[in-house]
Amino acid sequence: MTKPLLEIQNLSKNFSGLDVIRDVTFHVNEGERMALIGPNGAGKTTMFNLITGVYPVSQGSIRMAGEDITTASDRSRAQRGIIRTFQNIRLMPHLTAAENVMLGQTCHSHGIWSWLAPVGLQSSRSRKEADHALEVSGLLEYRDMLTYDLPYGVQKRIELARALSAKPKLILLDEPAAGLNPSETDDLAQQLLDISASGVTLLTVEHDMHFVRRLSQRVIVLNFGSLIAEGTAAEVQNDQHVLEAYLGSDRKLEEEVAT
Amino acid sequence: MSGYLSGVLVAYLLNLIIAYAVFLPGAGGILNLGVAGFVAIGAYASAWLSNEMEWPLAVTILLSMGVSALIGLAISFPILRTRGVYMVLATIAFGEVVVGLLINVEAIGGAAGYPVFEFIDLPVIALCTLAVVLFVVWLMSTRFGLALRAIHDDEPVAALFGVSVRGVRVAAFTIGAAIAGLGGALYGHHYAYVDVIYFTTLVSIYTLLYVLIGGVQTPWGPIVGAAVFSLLPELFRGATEWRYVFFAAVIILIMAVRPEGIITRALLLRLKRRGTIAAPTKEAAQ
Repeated sequence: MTKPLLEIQNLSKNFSGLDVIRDVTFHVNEGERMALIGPNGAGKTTMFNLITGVYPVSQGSIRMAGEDITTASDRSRAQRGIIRTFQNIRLMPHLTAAENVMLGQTCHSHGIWSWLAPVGLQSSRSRKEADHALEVSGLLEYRDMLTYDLPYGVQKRIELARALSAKPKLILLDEPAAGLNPSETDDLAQQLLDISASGVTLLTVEHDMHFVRRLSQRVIVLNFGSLIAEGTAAEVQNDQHVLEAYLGSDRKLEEEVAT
Repeated sequence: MSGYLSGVLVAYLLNLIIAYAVFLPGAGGILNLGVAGFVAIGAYASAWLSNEMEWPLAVTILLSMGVSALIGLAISFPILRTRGVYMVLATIAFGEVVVGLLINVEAIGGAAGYPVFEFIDLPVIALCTLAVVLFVVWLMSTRFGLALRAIHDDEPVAALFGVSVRGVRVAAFTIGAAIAGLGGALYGHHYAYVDVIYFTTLVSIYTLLYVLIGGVQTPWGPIVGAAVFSLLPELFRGATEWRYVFFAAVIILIMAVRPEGIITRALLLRLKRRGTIAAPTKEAAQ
């Protein structure tokens, strides 16, 4: 259980002179549920974009299951089992729910026949797998609907179903509970615990601390691109640096009151 | 069938084949405004192979498709590096270069045009069109088609789920070039004469226009789009000089009312759902 799955070593990202990620080192163990928190603009989504290969890194290295993937393509990282969801839902609007889920299977589609067999047919294996995935998530009724006019909560669940159909080793969840009501958030937390129990490693960016406490075994905190704290949810919540990052330092407050 | 009717039908079928050549890359978000270049390559290649080599038509047509596909493959790499309006300009430039080269080759008639001796009539063209329609419908239902449509919607996310964006786009462009080559070969053998003035950028623009009017979301779009473009002017024939004014007005109206094309996914799914309501399924009855 303690074998590291994802290792981030001295990672930096610089956008035309602006340091967005500064010398960050952390790792996620196999099967672990870890959360990445921090104030707005701390670099959390940028970190996800670096891990998934959307942006090239400026410095440092990323290893997945012991292999260096620092310069690997986004596609090959997906094939190695790194799959993500998005802060702003990014389902394919002109594909149905079932087709979006089938897209998730693509990273395991090798060989010419898996590309040239009709996946659109109800009887195809891909389609049956997608229907099953939707059924498990309670989304079967939406399978033949285009995703753009579905309710927000449903779209979020389809996005998660798409990610799962890629059979990931590591899922990066970018604010999975944002915009959900308390009961939906509760269902989501339970679903993520079930996913974790099936052996998938989770790295979650989330603002809802109640959700983070329930879901995560370990939390890391980013502020202005630097890692400022690491520990259990309770530990980081009482950490002086974290409190300062979220609320501002006492001294600053006093100064503001004085002026 | 009257000569007029079969003439209109042949024009429609040839337009439809060329429409699929534009549709396939178009379904992946690639705007090809150089399709006339590939049509010209197919037309001249098959005409020359048939006139000079005297090979059977089936062979010359297949070879002309192959030549068009190879050239499509070669130019797809630089063209697909460009984006948006630059891609449109690059494909236009390609079409112009093809015409510019062909007009200077004396062996195929140069500016005087090139007569084609072997004749192909309506039934063969109809069969070829049917084959193209079935092929594209099948291709769009495969994982390849799914990936192509995903690229159209959100390229970075498609890549994050394992789609080889470059590979799929190159394949779509190349297969499109082969289909355009087929359209060109049939064109030359039916009208018994090819001339570069038939393969101008205007042809590419019209084709892209009617593909977009039909809709690139489903493989049924081009059938409707090509029909609008090939058949509407015939219906307005009675209006003599006002014919193209009416035609243009209808086109503008269609684009205003159906900006995503006449045939969209949403439309087909709505029709399908209405069909299932009319004939209740077991689930619905419960």
